[in-house]
Amino acid sequence: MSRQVGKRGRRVLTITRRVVQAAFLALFVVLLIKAVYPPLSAPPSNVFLRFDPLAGLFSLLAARSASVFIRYWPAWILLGLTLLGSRFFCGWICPLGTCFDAVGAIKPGAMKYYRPGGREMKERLAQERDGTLPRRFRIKYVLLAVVLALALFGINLLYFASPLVVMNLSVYYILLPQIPVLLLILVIIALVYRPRFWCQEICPLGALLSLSSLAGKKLGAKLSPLSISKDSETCISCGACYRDCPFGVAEPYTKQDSGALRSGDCTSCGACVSACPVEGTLALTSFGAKLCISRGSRAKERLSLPAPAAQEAHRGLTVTRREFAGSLGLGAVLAAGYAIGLRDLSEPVLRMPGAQDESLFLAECNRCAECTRTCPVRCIKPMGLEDGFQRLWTPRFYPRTAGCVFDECNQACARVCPAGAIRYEKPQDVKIGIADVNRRTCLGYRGRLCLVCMERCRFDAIRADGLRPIINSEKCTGCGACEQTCPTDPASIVVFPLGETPSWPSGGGRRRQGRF
Amino acid sequence: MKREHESESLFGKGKDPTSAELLQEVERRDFVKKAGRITCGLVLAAYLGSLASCARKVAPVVKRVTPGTSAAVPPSGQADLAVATGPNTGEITRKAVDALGGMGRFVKQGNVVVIKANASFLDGPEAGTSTHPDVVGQVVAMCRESGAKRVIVLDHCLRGMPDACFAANGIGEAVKSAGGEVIAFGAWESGHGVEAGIPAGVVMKSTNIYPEVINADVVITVPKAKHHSSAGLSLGMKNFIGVTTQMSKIHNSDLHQAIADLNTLVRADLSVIDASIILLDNGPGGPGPTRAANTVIASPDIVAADSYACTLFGLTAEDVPYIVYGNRAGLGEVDFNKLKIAKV
Repeated sequence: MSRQVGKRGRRVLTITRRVVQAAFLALFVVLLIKAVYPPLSAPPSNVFLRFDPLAGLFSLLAARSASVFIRYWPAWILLGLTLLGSRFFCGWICPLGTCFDAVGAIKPGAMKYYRPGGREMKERLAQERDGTLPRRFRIKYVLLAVVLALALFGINLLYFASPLVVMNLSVYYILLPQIPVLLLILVIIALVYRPRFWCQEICPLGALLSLSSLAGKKLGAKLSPLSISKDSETCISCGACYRDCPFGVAEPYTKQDSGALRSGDCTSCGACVSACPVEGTLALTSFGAKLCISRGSRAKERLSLPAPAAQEAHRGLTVTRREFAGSLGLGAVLAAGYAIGLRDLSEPVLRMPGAQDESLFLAECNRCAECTRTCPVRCIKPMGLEDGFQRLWTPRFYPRTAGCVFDECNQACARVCPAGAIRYEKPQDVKIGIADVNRRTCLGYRGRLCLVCMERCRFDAIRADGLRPIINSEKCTGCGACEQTCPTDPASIVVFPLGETPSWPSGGGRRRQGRF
Repeated sequence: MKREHESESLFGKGKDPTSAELLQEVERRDFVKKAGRITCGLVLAAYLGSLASCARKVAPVVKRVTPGTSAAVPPSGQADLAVATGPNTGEITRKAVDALGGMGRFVKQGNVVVIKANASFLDGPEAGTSTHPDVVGQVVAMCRESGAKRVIVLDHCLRGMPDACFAANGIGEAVKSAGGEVIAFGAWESGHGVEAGIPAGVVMKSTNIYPEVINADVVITVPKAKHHSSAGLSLGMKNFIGVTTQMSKIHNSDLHQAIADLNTLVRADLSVIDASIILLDNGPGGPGPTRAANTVIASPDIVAADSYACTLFGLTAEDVPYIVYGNRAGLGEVDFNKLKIAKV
């Protein structure tokens, strides 16, 4: 935030953008709050998440089905608008970006962000004029490629790659309330380094939007729903626009000709328009019409630049030593972490009814926690690292915490899943797993009066043989009501996932888990 | 002034605007920033506070509940045990209570009445697993007629979600149309209960029960008479298992003695046993064979009522130990022939 003081009219654009951002953030949070059972159906509580083109593209690559394409229709609209215009999603809508902006706005005055100084700005302008500006290596494009390539192998990294998923999971944890670790890390980076560092350098969704807006820039500003245009005739090259750009885009400052900006990173947020001290030099335009122009009152002398540098122009891609070392280090850490975290995925885990086959489920599930939020009995929760990175934050069914009521909630989790990882299944077809009794610890087998499991079974799958519960594996749906209420600890009746042979290690079993 | 110097554009070529208006604007922005920071700080503090309160173990409220007064002493000339038979379940319920001297004998003006029905299962009355809605509705209506301020019908639902359970077995609708309210607990809701000591307990010295039951002026048990695979029969005394949250405590000790102990804590003022359609096997949840016994048994003596209900199954109280233990604990008379019985 520079202390550009000028006419109050300049503030209108900033205030408008803040209001729009706050409104979208509020909508995002309200939709997640309203995902609590019974989930909102019109608009569906997952609609914001389906505006995510990266998730859509990802699911297309992972699942390769037409239904995914239809499910993500809002994402294709956003992608189309971005193609015509700019990354306006990042500057105006993205709830994670709004959080970063908020952090930047309330940062204590004693902590200062780095801002380019006069000499650096001069050099930048001269390099642009001479064509000697080194092209910077942006890690976000590499990350985008990696994330999409992994989709082909069924490895889903959207919980870090998509700001909408990151935000959904984080708000889910905040509402619990628990500490959202990932969001906390990102906010600290924003606070210490630069508010929009993540969006500018790392965010793979941002990279996708940048690429699509770059591809569409040739179409011209007439078709663009939101873009920035410059009048170079009146520009005094003061650099206020560059200094105020949250994404560090130099183009409004260095652009030599007039017209719409072509930078892929421009989010059309209008910070440059607000900062510009010259009337009409910069403008926020929509379909060729000017929505808001810069309202300065002062014309200044044009900046005098040093003579063109003598050295040969090199426009190749430049990677600084620090960047190279950093990428290597990050890659090594990720690879090592992933290798450590790899687990044998053939071992089945309990999922909710309607969950796709495990490999497809892992590929499709975004880890957005929408299903966990909606479950009326809270029988599912995101997994930790106990089963490796591939299963991190995927929803697991914990029958000891609560039995699944799929026949009564009408599979709310399937209805809110934005990705199609959980699909509606007819109640009579549901088979989550099969319960089995530990004959060593079951009270009935020890001659005690119990049979609580039988009382709770609503599928008539448990019959009493004297005092002993006998399970009818045909009728058992694996809903886990029996496991939830078994009075022994650990439970003597446990739901085993299909394909797993029941085993009862002596003294082991599953401990009672508290509410979450 | 220094701040304005800083604020000027990069190359220091512009003039410093020094008007008071600009100064004001700067101050206003500072104020907005400061206010934003303070708000964020407060929100963060509130959030951390809520985190901390979640993390803190809430100490259970230990309520020492003195055992209720013994069953109401019947005024002379009135029956102690009423058995009504007939095809219309609602009608015979009213007849049975009227034979005891009417609901006014138990419920006084302004009382809060808690009715423990048997509403744990999803099937309607024909399955014989839940109390007949007409019986519950009629008891609620009679309480309201006697001037009860609130009539709460509660149960701990074993199958499915609580509200859906009360809707499926028809009891929710019957209670509401009779002017009562329903409190349905799910099997996963254990946080609602309060700790209560049982001074007269033999195997169970304390338990965790729903506070509504402790705070009520009048407690009425309206069970379904049915087969129970572990307790033998499920009747009025057994019905109170549904007001505790600690299934494990009851089943890990001697079940029958635990039921009797629980009944020394929660003393029923009236027992109205629904034996309209009785479940004969595979209880308590069924499905199983049923028989239309078309009977309603009412008594202020919970032990006598249970003891009488055994005869409908061709059994005696000796076959259902918790009734005998109840007698031993002084909760009532197991030999119902000692009481004055009205058959209507």
